[in-house]
Amino acid sequence: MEFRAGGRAAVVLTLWLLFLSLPLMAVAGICVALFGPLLWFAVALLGAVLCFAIVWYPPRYAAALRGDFDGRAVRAVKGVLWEKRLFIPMTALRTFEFWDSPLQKALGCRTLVIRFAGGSALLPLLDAEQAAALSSQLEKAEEE
Amino acid sequence: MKTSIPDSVGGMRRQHGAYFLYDARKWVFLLFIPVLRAILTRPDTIAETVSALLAFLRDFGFACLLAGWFVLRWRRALYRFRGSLTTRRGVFLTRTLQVSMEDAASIEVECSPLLWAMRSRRVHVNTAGLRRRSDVTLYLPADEARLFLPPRGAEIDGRFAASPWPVAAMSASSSNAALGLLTLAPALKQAGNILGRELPAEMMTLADRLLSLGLPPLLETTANVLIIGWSFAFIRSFFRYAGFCARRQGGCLHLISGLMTRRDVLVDCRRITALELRQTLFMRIFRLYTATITAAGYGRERGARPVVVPAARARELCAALDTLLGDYPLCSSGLRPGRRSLGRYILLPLWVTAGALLPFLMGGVWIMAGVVWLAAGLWWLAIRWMGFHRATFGVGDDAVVLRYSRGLALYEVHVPLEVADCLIVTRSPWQRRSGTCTVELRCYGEKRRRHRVWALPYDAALHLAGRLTIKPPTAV
Repeated sequence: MEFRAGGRAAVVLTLWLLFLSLPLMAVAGICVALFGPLLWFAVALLGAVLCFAIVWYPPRYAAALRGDFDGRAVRAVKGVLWEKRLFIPMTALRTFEFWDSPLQKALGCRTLVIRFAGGSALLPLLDAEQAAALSSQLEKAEEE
Repeated sequence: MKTSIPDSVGGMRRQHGAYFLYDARKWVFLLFIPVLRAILTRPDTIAETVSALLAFLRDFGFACLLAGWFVLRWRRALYRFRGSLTTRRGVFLTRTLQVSMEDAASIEVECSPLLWAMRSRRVHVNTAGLRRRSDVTLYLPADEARLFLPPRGAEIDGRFAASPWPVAAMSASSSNAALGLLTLAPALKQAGNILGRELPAEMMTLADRLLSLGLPPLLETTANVLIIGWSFAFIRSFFRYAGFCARRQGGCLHLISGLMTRRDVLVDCRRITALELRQTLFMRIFRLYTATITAAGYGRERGARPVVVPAARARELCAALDTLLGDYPLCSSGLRPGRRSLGRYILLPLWVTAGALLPFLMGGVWIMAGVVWLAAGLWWLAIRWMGFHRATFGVGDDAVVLRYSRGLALYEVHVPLEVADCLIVTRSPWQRRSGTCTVELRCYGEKRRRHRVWALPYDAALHLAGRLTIKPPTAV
C-alpha cells in the first residue's frame, strides 16, 4: 500500500510554524528593547525568514512526504531541502505508535512513529485513513 | 545463553555482604565523621566537653542509622535461580525482576581487589532491554559466581590471546584526554576536600614544572591538562585490557581481561549485532586494527570498548576473527564515492589546516601554538584523505558493510542483514546537483553511534538500499 501526507497536512504545519514563530519574535522584540535598536535589522531578517518559511515550506513538505509498505519493509521519502529516504525492514520493527494532537485530529492527520532497536523513525502528518490502513497492515505483517 | 547454574534450593537467597559496601560506597565516609570529631575536638571546659559528647552521640546515632539502613537494604536484596534468574530488592518499594537466561546477551563477572579479598564477585546480566545499565547486578560468593562462566576444562573451539604491546597500542590510540579528565577531575576534587584544597593547584604546578613545552602560559596549562587527562585515560584503558584473552566456547565468546580488576565476559554469539574494525592514523602507521563487537551490555561503561581483538595486523586479525567469529556474516564488496567527491571529505580539514597560518603570522610565542595547530590539522586531513579512499557501502546476501572515517579514526562495520534496522539515504541541495548522497545505517548499539558514508552515487546507493528490504523476514 502507498501512503502520503494528509490533505490538510500543510495547514497543520503552517499552524505549528506560526505557533513557533510567535514566541520567537516576542523574544527577539525583548532583545531589541533590552540591547538597543541596532538589532532591528536582525529581527527584521528573522521575521522575513519566518514569513518565507511559513508560506513556502509547508505545502512543499506535505507534497514531498510519501511512502509505501509491501509487507516486507516500510519505505518513505520526506524533506524538502534535505531529502531523506528511509528503508525499514519488517524484521527490525519492534513497536509502532500513532500520535495525534487535537489539531491533527481536527485536520485529519496522524503521525506514525516506528521504533526499532537502533532508534526510531518519524513519519509526520500522514493521512488519517491511510495511517489506519497502514497500522492494520503492520499489525498483520507482525503476526505473520 | 546456556549456563551451568543449578536451580536454587528453597526460597530466595541473600546476596554477598559486598553488596553493602558497594551500595553504601557514596555515604560510607560519613561513618567516619564521629571518629574524626573525637580526634579533632580538644574540649577545655566542662560545657565544651558536654557539647562535644552530645555532638559525638548525635553523629554516632546518624552513622548507626545510616549503617542500619544499608544493612536493611542488603538483607532485602535477594535472588533465586530456577531456570530464570529472579531478583528482589528494596525496603519500602519492593522491586522483583525476572530475567530469562535465554534472553541474556552478555554476562559479566567482575573481580576487583576488594571483591577478591572478600571472596565475592559482581555479576552483571545484560539483555538488550535496558540501555544504560545492566538488567541485573548481583554480588555473589566467588564459587557461585563461577557457575555463570563455562566450567574449567570445558572444550575451547578457538583462542586468541593479546600480548601487552598490542593492548598498549590500542590503549594509546583510543584514549581520550577529555574522558580521562572527566574521571580524574572529580577524584582530584575529592582528594582536595580530604587532604586540603591546595592539592589540585599543587598538582597543576607540578605538571607545569615536569611538562614544559615552551608555549604561552595559557596554552601550556591547557596542553598539560590534556596530557594529564590522556595519560590517565591511557593507564585506565591499559589496566582494563591487560592480559586480554578471547575464547570461543560453543555458541559463546568468553572474553577475559584486566590487570587489577579482572573481568570475565560471556557473550552470546547469536546476539552480536555488529563487528567493527577501527584504525587510527597512529595504528595505521603500524598497520594495526582493533576489532570490536556490539552486544548488549559489553563495553557499556564510560571509556570502555567492546574489544575482541585489541590490536593486530591484517593477517593476524583475519586468523583471530576466523577462530572467534568464523560464522559471523561479512560483506566485502561495495559502492565507492566518485573521484569528484574528494572535496566533500577534505575541504573542512583543509580549511582548518590553513587556519594554522594565522598564529604563524602573529609570530613570537604563537609559533609553537601554530605548530600544534598545523600538526592536528594535518593529522585530520590525512584521516579524511584515507577515509575517502576507503569509503564503501555494500549490501551482500547476509550482511551490510560500511567503511568510513569519523573523528580521527577509520571504521569498517559489518552488520548482519537481520539486525540492520533502518537505512537512510539523504540528499542535500548541493548533493542533488552532483548526483551524490549520504547513506546512514542505524542498528542496535550501546553508544547509539550512527554509521554514515558520504558522497556516494545516488542511484547506485538507492539500488543497494532496496536490496536491504528485499530479503524475506526471518526470525532474529
